[in-house]
Amino acid sequence: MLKATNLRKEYGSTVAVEDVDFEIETGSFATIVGPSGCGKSTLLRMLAGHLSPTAGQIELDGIDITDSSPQSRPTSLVFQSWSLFPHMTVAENIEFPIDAQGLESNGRIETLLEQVRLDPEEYANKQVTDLSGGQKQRVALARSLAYEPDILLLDEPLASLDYVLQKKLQRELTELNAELNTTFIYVTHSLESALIMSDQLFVIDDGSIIQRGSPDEIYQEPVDKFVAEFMGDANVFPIDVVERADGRIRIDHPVLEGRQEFPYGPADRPVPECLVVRHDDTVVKPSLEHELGIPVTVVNVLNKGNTALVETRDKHEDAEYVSEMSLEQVSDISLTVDDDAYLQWNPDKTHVLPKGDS
Amino acid sequence: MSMRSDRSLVPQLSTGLWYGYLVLVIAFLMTPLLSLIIASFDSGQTFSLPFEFTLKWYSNALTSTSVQSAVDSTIRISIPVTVLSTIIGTAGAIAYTRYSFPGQEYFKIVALLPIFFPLILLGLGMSMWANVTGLGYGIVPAIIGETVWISPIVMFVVSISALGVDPNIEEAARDLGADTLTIYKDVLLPLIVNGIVSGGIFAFVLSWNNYYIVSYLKGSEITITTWIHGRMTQGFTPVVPALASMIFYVSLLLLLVAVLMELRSSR
Repeated sequence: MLKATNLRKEYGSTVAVEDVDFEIETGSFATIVGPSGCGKSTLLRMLAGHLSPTAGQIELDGIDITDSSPQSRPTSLVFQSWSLFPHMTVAENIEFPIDAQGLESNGRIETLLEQVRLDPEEYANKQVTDLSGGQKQRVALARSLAYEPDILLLDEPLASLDYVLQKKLQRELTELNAELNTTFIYVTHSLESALIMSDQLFVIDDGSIIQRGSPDEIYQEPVDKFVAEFMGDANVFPIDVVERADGRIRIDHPVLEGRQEFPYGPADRPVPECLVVRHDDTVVKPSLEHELGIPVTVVNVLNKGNTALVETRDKHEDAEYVSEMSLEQVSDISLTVDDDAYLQWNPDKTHVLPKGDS
Repeated sequence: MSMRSDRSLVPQLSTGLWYGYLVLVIAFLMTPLLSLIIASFDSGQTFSLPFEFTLKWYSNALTSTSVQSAVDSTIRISIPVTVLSTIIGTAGAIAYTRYSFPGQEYFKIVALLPIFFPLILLGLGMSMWANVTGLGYGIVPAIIGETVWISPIVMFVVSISALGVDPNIEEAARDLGADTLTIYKDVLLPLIVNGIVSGGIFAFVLSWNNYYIVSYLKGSEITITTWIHGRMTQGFTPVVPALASMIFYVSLLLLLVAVLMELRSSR
């Protein structure tokens, strides 16, 4: 198990990572997700040993590795730009860590290439500069796995690949994680990758972990507005709380029609500031059929392939909202631009949330 | 005339001016060199028409003992200068491009300062310094003086190469378990070797052709450039253009190699 306690990194007066605690089970696939500049790469570099923490401790299976050098700790980092050695062949790249660590290489290179789905006969003697992006990514992965690290750290290594290849490699990474007894810690700003691949998810912003849990938990129960907006396309309705008692709140919203009371607890949770509803939990219909809704004007209907995005504008407040509906729904109602309608949803799908730090 | 053709006239005119400028630059640069080379093949004591071809001056230059000793002194200066300034320049380039440290930008300015100093003043200053410090004059002071001037140029050439290397490459190697020696020997130096070789060639050519610094510091030694200068001022002989042309051929060849290496590494 990898355990970080009060891990902190300061650059002068800037705090890049602020007192982070976490535990990651051996062999699991953990993802650290957050926007650019949130401190996730700094955190990963501290785990790899390339940055020394200002304070805090990193333990691997009970052994303190906070101050061990990158060479001596059983972690391996796959860089965003892959950082392959351009003057070496595929086999020489993979052999580099084996030689550097004084290990025996017999048959290892072939096995590693097969693990990353590259044919050893075809690729072993190729110059890495002659490879495509996806192939380079696979070689970087094989090179990092060459000395059997306990923890593989991945710094957005799929970011520069095209969408189809990203999907394919995401699947292969999860398969590889299941195959090996290696812990994968993946850093990304892409929520989609995080949801697809991970067992454990850490949402990080401004150097702190805002929420942790399984992808499903975080998707279903975001703790605040930041996480909700980050986790999925969502509409946000600012609210004023009129009354708060017995784990419930009563709100005041100038245009929201229908229910005005929601469960909200526990008592020490910060005052809620908004209602959040995901785009695909809402529909736009000419009349109010659900328990909650808001009168809007249709601004645009965009065909997304399997669904349609209906963009609407609040009649009174000039705020814009989006509803993601099936194509059948849209054609049944025959929504067109400038139609008056209601953006509406089932109250159960409403997240009542505090604002969050950011 | 419409507005449209008016506008297209401006870029045409500026392209024309640019080509004209290029032709003038080449003409000014090449005419003296070309006349020197033509003169070196003319049989007359002073270059005059009609032109009569000979290789006599080249053979005289190659057999003259004073030229041989000048070449010998020049080589005894140029080779150590090449080695020293390549080492110092490469170290400077690696420090500047591959590490971050406080005052990095000041380091660059100070390191490159000698290039922007007029050579004649640099030579004079060095000469005074050689006297004050008791270093004196001769081969060693000439080597030191030229190294001071040439190292920053090597640093500049190697930096171009080193900047092109993936900024994470050393970190990647360290992460894979390599020690510092392995990182340099197997990763960084092989990746910038073309830059180092072109830097070394530049260093040799600059030292080979240097006049001002060496003339102040050489003491009683005579190098190729000081020999030519001496002959120009006291008793011109057609051996001078022949020798000067030979220097030019060597420099041109070496620079060509350097350019080819740079092209190969940037591919």
